[in-house]
Amino acid sequence: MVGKNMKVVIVEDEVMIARRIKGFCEQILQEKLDAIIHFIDLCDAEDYLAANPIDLLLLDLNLNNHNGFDLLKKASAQAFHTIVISANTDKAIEAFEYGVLDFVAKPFSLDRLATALNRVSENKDLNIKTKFLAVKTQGSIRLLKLEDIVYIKAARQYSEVFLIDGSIALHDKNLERLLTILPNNFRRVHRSYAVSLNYVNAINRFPGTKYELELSNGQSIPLSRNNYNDIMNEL
Amino acid sequence: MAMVRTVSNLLLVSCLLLLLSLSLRANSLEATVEEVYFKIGDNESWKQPTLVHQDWRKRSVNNLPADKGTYWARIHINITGSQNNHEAQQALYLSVLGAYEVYWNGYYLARNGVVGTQTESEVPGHIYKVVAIPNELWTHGSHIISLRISNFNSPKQLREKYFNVFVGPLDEVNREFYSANLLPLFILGALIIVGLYFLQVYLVTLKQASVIIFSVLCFTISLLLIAETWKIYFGYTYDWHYVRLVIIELLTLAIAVLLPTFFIFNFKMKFKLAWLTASGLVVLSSYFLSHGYDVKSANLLSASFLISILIVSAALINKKQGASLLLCALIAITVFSIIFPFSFHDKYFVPSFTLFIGFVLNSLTLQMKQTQVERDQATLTSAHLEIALLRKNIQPHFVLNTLTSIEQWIDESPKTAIKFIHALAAEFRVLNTISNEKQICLQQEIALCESHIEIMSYRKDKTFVLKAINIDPNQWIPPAIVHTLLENALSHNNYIECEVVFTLEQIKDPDKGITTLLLNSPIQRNRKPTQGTGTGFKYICARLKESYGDNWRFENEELNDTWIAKVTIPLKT
Repeated sequence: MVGKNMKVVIVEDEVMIARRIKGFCEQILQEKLDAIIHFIDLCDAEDYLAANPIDLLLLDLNLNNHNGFDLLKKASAQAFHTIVISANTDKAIEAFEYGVLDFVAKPFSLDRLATALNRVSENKDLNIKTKFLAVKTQGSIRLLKLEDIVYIKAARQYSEVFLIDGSIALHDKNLERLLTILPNNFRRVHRSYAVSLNYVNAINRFPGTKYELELSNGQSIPLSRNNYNDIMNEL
Repeated sequence: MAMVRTVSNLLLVSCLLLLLSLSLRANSLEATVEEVYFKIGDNESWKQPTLVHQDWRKRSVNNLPADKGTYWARIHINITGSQNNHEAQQALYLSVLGAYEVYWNGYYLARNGVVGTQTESEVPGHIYKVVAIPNELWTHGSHIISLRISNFNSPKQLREKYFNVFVGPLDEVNREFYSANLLPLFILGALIIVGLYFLQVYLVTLKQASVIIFSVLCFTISLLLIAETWKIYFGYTYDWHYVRLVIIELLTLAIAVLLPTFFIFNFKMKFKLAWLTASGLVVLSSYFLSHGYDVKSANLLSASFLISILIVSAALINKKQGASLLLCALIAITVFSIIFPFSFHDKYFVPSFTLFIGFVLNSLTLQMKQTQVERDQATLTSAHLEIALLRKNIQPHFVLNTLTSIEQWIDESPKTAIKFIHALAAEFRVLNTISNEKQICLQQEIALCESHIEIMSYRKDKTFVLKAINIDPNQWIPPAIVHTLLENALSHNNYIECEVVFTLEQIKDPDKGITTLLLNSPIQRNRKPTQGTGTGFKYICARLKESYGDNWRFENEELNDTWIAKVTIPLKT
């Protein structure tokens, strides 16, 4: 998906900075860029995001004294990736906790923005600081603690998040995008499954090289042959 | 515990001493002054105890000779009790306005000054005299003490009234005198030091009316003490007695006026003039309405205490610090002075007043502490405001965003980038000159605002304009007031038009001595209500309060599509 026809939204209240971000994006992504739209106003951006699917949001945290974190929480619950571009470097850690892909400090160079944009297509970064997954539930945003998540199952373009208390939450990001922002203890174990290694009790082998993972909540999920060695080594 | 023990020991010792003195007295001879007679004229034979004195006048109030001249007085005393082997030396205490010779049963005993037949030949006597009575004359029964007196130097006001005499053991007469007056001497020293201290406090640090009034009050009481005790420590001839009484009276009047005045200023009372007039009237009427020196003094002080109680009560109602303690002390001292009007003035006035001064001292010290705390607070606030002013424009968020914009201008149009950098430098330069000022002139403020909106024009790639109407460039204003308002307007609006005009107008009201600055900003709101107006407005209010106390107003309102901010401050200053 990444690499072709990217739709990018910039939310930035300073015209000159927005122009710079836009120019850099065009240079970096070139023909991969499908559309790039700039919003000054947070509300306009929210309206647009609610109606139009995009791939990447480039967000300033301090917009005309509005708190960009409100938008950030909503954004991180959605399907697209978010990169924060802000002068408020003191907010970087907090932003990462909400599962942003990267935090670019102002002023920024072309190379720095390129690194950030490349992370959209990279598979994994070892230094992920996400602590919550934001999910939309009945119109509001619920923050799930990562340590409560047992495993995640792909459900078409969404993901089902299975929690230790037995409940299930639906996340708008697909499994691949979720894995990009989740830390290293979350592993792909199957085409449709990712698991938190903290909750794996044992690997069960069945006839015909079929594998299953036995989890501490009593459930079992399939483990594909391709991932067997990797998981075996980890445990 | 130790305290209680000390007190009980003291009580025990005093009881024993009292019993002892009573038992001694029961065993010795005691004299009582029975009658005093006098006759105008001069005759050597009038000293004889056998003289028949039918035509002599009996001494009563105001009936001593009204004219200057020579007269004789006969004092009848009766000595009772039983003879004792260790009879104490007895003495005669005399305080008479004149020069006189003293005879005991016709025998010459002593003289005070030289009795004369006219003003020139008289040598005035000491105001009082203690005459030791030889033991052989001190016998059971009636005795006649004769005085030959000339009063050529006596003041008219006292001539008919003043005549004091009593008889007692010499030791006791002396002891009563000196021990009773040792305490006032200590107090005198303390009062002078306290008075000097507060005088210095007033001159050097705390220019408050209450401080200097308190200092003057201490000195006045010291002078009163000196005047009161002068008789004993230094003495004077009888012709000075009236002068001393007048001095005492005037000093008492001064104290009676100063005391309520001190409270009025100390508690920073509202309606000062009304309070001052009322207390002045009360004290002065008690001065003019009462007669006799002791009565006048007693009434003056009572009136002063009563009006002071009113003032301190009003202060207490207004919850002034330290009022309750002072009120208790005042009520106690007043009740005491009403119950014992004369002995109060003679014996208890100075000690109780000193105690009272202690309370006042405490109250003043608390106030000084309060003032110090307020002053420190104000200094701290000023320091905070200075930092807040600097932070506005060197806060990382502002600088980093500005730098990012400059980068873009360097790529797009290096010439504009340079202008942008110059605008930024101009703002920093103005900030540098004003950052430690509490007030700047409006011209500087506008220069600051212009460089700020120029920076914002480059950042937002729009044209922001500040139009100044009727501006007096020399009007004083705390720094960055208009700047903060502009900043507020710029950060809470999303201006879409290419040109946005802000207007700053000054309206003067010379009659009231005030001026109003009006800043009109167009509104093009974000759809969401914005946050963060708090710190800017807090800065403005804190700055105005720092410069003008309560003498300012700051209002803002939205009218149609304009946000109007109004700052009203004193004209020029």
